[in-house]
Amino acid sequence: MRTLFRWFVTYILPPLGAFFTVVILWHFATVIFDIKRYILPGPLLVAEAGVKNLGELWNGFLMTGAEAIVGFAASLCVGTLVACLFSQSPVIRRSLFPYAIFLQTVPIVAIAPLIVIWFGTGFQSVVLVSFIISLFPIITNATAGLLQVDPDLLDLFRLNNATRWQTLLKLRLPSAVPSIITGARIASGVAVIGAIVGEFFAGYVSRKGLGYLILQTAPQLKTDKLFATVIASTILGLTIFALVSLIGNLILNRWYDGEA
Amino acid sequence: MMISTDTAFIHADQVGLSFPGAPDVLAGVNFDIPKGQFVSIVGPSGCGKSSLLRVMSGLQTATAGQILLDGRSPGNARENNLRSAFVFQDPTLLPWRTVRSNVSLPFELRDRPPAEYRNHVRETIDLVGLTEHDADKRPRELSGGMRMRASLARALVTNPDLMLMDEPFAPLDDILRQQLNEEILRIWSDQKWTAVFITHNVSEAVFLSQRVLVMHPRPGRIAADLEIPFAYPRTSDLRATAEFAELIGQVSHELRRTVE
Ligand SMILES: Nc1ncnc2c1ncn2[C@@H]1O[C@H](COP(=O)(O)OP(=O)(O)OP(=O)(O)O)[C@@H](O)[C@H]1O
Ligand SMILES: [Mg+2]
Repeated sequence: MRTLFRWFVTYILPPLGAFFTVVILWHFATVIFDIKRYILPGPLLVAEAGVKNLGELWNGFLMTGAEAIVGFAASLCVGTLVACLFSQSPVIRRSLFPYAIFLQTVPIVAIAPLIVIWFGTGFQSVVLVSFIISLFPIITNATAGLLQVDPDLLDLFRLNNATRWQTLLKLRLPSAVPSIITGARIASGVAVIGAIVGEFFAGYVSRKGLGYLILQTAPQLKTDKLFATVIASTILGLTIFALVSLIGNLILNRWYDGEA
Repeated sequence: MMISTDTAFIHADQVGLSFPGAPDVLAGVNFDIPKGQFVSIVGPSGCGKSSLLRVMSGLQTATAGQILLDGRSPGNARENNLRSAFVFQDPTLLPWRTVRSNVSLPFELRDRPPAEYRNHVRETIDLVGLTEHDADKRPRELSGGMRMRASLARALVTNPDLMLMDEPFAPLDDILRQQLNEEILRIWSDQKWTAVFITHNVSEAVFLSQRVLVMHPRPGRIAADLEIPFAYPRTSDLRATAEFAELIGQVSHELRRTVE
C-alpha cells in the first residue's frame, strides 16, 4: 500500500500535474485572448466534441489500432527474420544493409501513393505503410543484439561443435531478446504513426480510422472535433506502446529474472 | 623426467602464435604432458597463458609449430571424439537457463535425447557440491562460487579426457578457492582426466599440480618446468608444511625471474 502510494507520487502525480497545468493555462488563454473556436477551441469544447463523437472516435480507435497492431506484428516477425539473416555473415550485412536504411530514409508520404496504386485502398495498404516504417528499428536493434553475444559463450558453442543453426537458436536469439524488445518498443509507436499516415492515402474504404477522421474534419473547420481525434490518436499510441512495454517486461522478467 | 613424444598425451612442438602487425604472442613453446597429469601454468599477466590454452583447445590455430592431442591436431581431435572441456575465467553460463539446463547444454548440442543424460547431469551437479534446489535456479540467483561450480559441472558432465581451465577460481575469495581446489583434486583423483590449469596464484598451482610450468612473457615461452612431488590425496594440512612453503618459494623465484 505504501509502495503503491510512493509509486503514484513519484511517477503518476508529476505528469498528471503537468497535464492539468497545461489544460488550465490553455483554458484561460482561449478565454482571455478571446481566440476563435475554429482556431483554438478551449479544453471544454474539445471534451464536449469528444463526448459527442465518442462512438465514431471509438470505432476509429479500434480500426487504426487493428491496422497498427497488424503492421507492428508483421514488422516484428519480418524484422527479426531479416536480422537473423544479417547475423549470419558480414557479406550479407554489407550487401543488404543499405537497402534496410532505405526503409528509414524514404519519405513515407512519397511512396504511400505507390502502395495505393499497387495494392489499392483499404486495410492491407494501411497495414503495409505501418509495416514499412516500423520495420527499421526492429532490424537494427535485433541485428545488434544477435551480434553482441558474449565471445566466451560463442567459444563454448564452438568447442561443443555447435552448428550455425544451434548457435542461432540457442545462443544468438535468446541473447538478442532484450535488444529485440527495445526495438519493438520503438517500432510500436512508429507503427501507429504509420497507420494514421496510411489512412490519409488508403483509408477511404472503411471510412473509420482516426487518420481518415482527421482528414475529413480538418477542412470542415470542426477544430474541436479535430483536437478530440488527435487526442484519441495519442491515446492509441500510448496504449500500444504501454502494451508492448508491459509484454516486454514480462518476458524479460521470466527470462532474466528481472534484469535486462 | 623426460617423456617421449609418442607417450605424451599433449605434445607441444615449437608452438608459435602471432597476429598481424603485433609482436609474437607465443614463440618456441615446447612441452609434453602425459595422460592423466595435472599441470599448472603460471606466468605474468599478458604472457600468453590464455592464448596457449586456446591453441590447445583448437579455438585458435598455432601460426608456427604444432600442438598434438593424442597424436592429432586439436581441431581434428575434437571432431574425433577426444573430449576436451574448457572452463573459462568467468562462469560463462547462459543467463536464461537454469543450472540444470546449462549443464545439459553439451548433450543438447550433440542432439542426445534427454532421457539418456538426465541422471548423469543430476549426479554431476551433485558432484560439484550443488543441491537439487540450486539446480533449478538461474545463474543470477547464485553466488559467484556456486556459478563457478555450475560451470565446472558443465565441463565435467561430458566425462572429458582433457580439462583446460583458464584461471577458473581467480575471482573467488581465498577460503572458497582453497575449498574448490580440494574438491577439484578429489574429482580428478576419481576421474583421472589430464588437466591444464592456468592461474596466477602460486600457492594454488603448487597445491593442485604434479608439475608447474612457468611462462616467460614477450614472446610467451616456457621458462621453467618444476615437479611438485607431494603425494595425493592432498589435504589442506599440506598448505601448512615447510616443504609446501619451500616449493612456493621456488616457483615464485622462477616467476620473479621472468619479469626482471
Ligand atoms: N586476437 C588477438 N589479436 C592481437 N593480439 C592478441 C589477441 N589475443 C591475444 N593477444 C595478445 O596476446 C598477449 C597474451 O594474451 P593472453 O590473454 O594470452 O595473456 P594471459 O597470459 O592470459 O594474460 P592474463 O594473465 O592477463 O589473463 C597479449 O599481449 C594480447 O594483447
Ligand atoms: Mg588470461
